[in-house]
Amino acid sequence: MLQTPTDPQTTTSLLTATGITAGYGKQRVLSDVSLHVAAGEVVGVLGHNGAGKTTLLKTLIRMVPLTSGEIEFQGRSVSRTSSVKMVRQGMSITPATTPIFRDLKVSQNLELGASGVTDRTEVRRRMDEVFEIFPILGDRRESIAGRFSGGQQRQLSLGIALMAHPKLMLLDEPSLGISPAVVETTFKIIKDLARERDMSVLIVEQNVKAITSIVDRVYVLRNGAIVLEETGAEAQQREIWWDLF
Amino acid sequence: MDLNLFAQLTVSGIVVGSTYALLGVSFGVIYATTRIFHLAHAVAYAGAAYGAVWASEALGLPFGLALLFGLATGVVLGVLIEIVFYRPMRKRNATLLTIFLVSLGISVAFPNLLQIVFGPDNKTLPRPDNPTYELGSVTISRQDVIAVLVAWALIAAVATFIVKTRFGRSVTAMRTNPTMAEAVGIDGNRVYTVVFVIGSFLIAVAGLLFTTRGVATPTMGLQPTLTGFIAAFLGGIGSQWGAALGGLALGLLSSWSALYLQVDYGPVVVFGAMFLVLLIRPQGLLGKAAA
Repeated sequence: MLQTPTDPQTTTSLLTATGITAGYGKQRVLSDVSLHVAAGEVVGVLGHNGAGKTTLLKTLIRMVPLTSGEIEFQGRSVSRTSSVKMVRQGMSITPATTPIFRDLKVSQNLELGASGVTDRTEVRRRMDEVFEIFPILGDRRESIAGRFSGGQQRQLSLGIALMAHPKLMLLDEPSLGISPAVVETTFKIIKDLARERDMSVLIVEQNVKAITSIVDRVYVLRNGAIVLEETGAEAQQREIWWDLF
Repeated sequence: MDLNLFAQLTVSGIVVGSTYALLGVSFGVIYATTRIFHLAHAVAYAGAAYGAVWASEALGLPFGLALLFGLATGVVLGVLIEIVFYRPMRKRNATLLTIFLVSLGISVAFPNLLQIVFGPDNKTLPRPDNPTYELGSVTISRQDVIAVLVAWALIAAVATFIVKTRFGRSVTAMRTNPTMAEAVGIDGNRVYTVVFVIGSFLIAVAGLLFTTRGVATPTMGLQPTLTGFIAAFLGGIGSQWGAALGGLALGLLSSWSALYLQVDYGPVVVFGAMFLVLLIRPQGLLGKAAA
């Protein structure tokens, strides 16, 4: 029996997915997945390789078409909305691999993060905000992004996402390719950003220790289906995960 | 070596190479961004030429307006191919090979369509005055000078647009990381439309430059498209100046080969040079190696 510590009907849900099924062509990856993210909440999705975590994020932001089910964002159905419009409406996604534009400068990467913003003064203001959070990006704003270390690239990817002033950030394995010390710092920044900006975050991860330390709730995805939902506190107490994976 | 002949061949090579450079940038900007092997690019080349001829003959437009009409025809045809054929195929997750086969089909069908509508005879535009200038032992015509200036002005404009403007950086974003581009909300279809406008515009200009001196024939577009493809790969995919350099190198090599070989050997020299360059630098002259 699936445990459900929170009820989307009783919280202010920013994102609600109900019974979504999705995949690529005839290959079904997600089966009857339901989840929700409340405003200001940090939610984790854990699962092994191939569980459907990345597909879940891409489906939520409408990069992967729905076969069935319903997605609501800010109280409106977005099941037929394009990914471009989803970004404009306040959802951002940071891919797990190559989440930056390697050939472009840091400042140009950040500028692209604000693709929907036409006012150049506003773009510069948002860029300054990002430089306050990640000073290294400000120091190296004219550097080519591809020359950055893994950790710096990850910071840049978060900066790109923040440029859109998202209400909900979808992060795909932000710990991938960076050292444990940088993972800890990065996750703390994510948690602080969510609190300070009243921004929601949905993170998919394989790094159980890192994710359970910052999330309010966590889902476990196995073979394209949600098999567990519990609070972050409960997840931190859990000693054995592999039976769930 | 006959230095006078060498000088004349160099100037001729620059003239021809400048058009090749234009073709290289036109093919390269579309291929680099969309990864579509756009063989139907030939449609914009021939379409521009026939559009101008039709505007001149049937509508009686003066030379300049006929050229503008031809230019518009080439651009519209190029963009229509993207919107009517390629875009729906991408939406249905068609492979690049399947899209290439459709492109091949269009490039085969279009000359037949031209032949049905306009007949098999060669078509010509009114010939503007074309005086020649003597620079020592070298002779160059006014149209040659115009062709070189127009080609490099357009190449510089496109390169500047891609590098210096915000939309140009969206094009680079789509070229280098389409997944991330979609993630930040860049409208891929809009970017594709714009690169088809740019690419089709450039090849339409090349088609008109050719037709003002030569003749329009239904099959005239294929050879320039292939030349553009070679120039783009020789110079480096993703680099406008690389593609331009590739085109210029092709023109010069082709011309210089006449110093020692019969004219028929020109294409052999060109393909041989391309093979050698790509053997040593698979990414092309100015292209970046894959990370």
